[in-house]
Amino acid sequence: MENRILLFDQKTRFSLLDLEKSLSTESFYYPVYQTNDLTDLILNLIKALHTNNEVCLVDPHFTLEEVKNCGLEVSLNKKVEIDFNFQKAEIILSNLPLALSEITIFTSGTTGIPKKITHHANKLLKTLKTTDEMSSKVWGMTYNPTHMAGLQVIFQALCSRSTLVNLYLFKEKEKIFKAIEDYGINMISATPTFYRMLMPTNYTNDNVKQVTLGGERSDLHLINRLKQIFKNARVRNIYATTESGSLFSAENDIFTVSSDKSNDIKIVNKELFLKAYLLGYSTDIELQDSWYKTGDVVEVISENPLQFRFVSRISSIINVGGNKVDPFEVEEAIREIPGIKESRVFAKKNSVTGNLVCCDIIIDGSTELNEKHIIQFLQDKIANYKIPRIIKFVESIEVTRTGKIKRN
Amino acid sequence: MTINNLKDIINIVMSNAGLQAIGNISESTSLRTDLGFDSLKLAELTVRIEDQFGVDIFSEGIVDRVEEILNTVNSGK
Repeated sequence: MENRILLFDQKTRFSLLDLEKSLSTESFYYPVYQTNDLTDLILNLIKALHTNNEVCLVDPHFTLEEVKNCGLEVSLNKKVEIDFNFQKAEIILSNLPLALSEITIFTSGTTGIPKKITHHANKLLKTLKTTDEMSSKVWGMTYNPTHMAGLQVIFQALCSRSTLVNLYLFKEKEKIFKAIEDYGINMISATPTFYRMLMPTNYTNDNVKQVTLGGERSDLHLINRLKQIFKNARVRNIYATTESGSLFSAENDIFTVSSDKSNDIKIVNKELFLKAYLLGYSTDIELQDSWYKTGDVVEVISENPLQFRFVSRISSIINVGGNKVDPFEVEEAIREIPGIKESRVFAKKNSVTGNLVCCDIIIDGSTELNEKHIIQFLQDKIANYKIPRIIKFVESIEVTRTGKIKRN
Repeated sequence: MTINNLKDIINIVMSNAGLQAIGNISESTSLRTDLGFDSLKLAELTVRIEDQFGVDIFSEGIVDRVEEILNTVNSGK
């Protein structure tokens, strides 16, 4: 049988035979695990699910203080002896979706203390596609593996016995394009911020079959640009939360709620609410009459069927002297300016208007641009109070641990 | 902070707003009456001054005249 590689990570590779070897020589796993090594993280996940044991993943970026706030019941990285019922690696992987394990993860903690969410593995894995055709896929892994989107990609690849290539630490676009070519990556899933950092480019690719965007608001311009780069790819935009996993998918930036889910979501004052049963278990989630307040602002496109567009996080909205500013809207307007590669709009506190809209900009070098050019361009496009007053030209945009634009 | 430092910052705010730079200011110049600063321009000015001099000029109430701003920044409040 072919010794399929499950993971390429920097210079290391981890195959089906390596997995069998580990399970036949080791008799422990870590119930609460924090590691920088993707191979170790994946092996530990497989060990836990294979034996129906619970597992908790702690983001390696968490500070000691944050780890302390996680409310862990078992010590971090403490080995626990377990017995593996040895089977062929292929069988172990195809049985993962049946696991009775509980998987605990945390929100990224960028807006406060990390929230702890526990998911049943079989519920989380039940929507994965595990057809034979999927086993020929090679996934570009761009996400932090300890959060929901990263876990989804890991499980999708493992359960269908396909190959993962870790791109999470790759920062330069040339290296990313090279890895896509060298490893024959044909499935990519990433945040819109990740994709925007690949632009501008003349690179094109015929091999990639699917490009998935998630975790942040996507815009049509980006989706169309990705279709030009990855000529044969189906572009999918995903709406998912740490609390619920993946919920909706769309070909563009408008999500359609299927009739079987129509009673499970509601929109109140433009905010999306989810029925509690869609969520994992958590004592950190507050419910309102069995509804979960997502904190996501959406725009309703049609009522029947319900269609919506993701607008912003409530926590990202900037209040300038009583006027509400959506930073995504400002970033979209800025991206229209020729010569702009990427921008990050954020608030700076002040005693006059409460907040002032500011932004960092990366230019692509094709045009001469200064603060005044940008402000004057925006004057015809967006309301005066939305225009960034202080603009800095930077080399890189600050992103969160989960690869989204940092707002604060 | 000198009066010229303040004038330079005021002129960045004026220029970004598409307004003509001012030639001179005196200690008695009023930001609102003489220069027509609205709340957004005042907010921009205070953030720019805080970035450079580490002082929030409006932390203890609204100041308006050049002399008041210089005193607030130079006393490090």
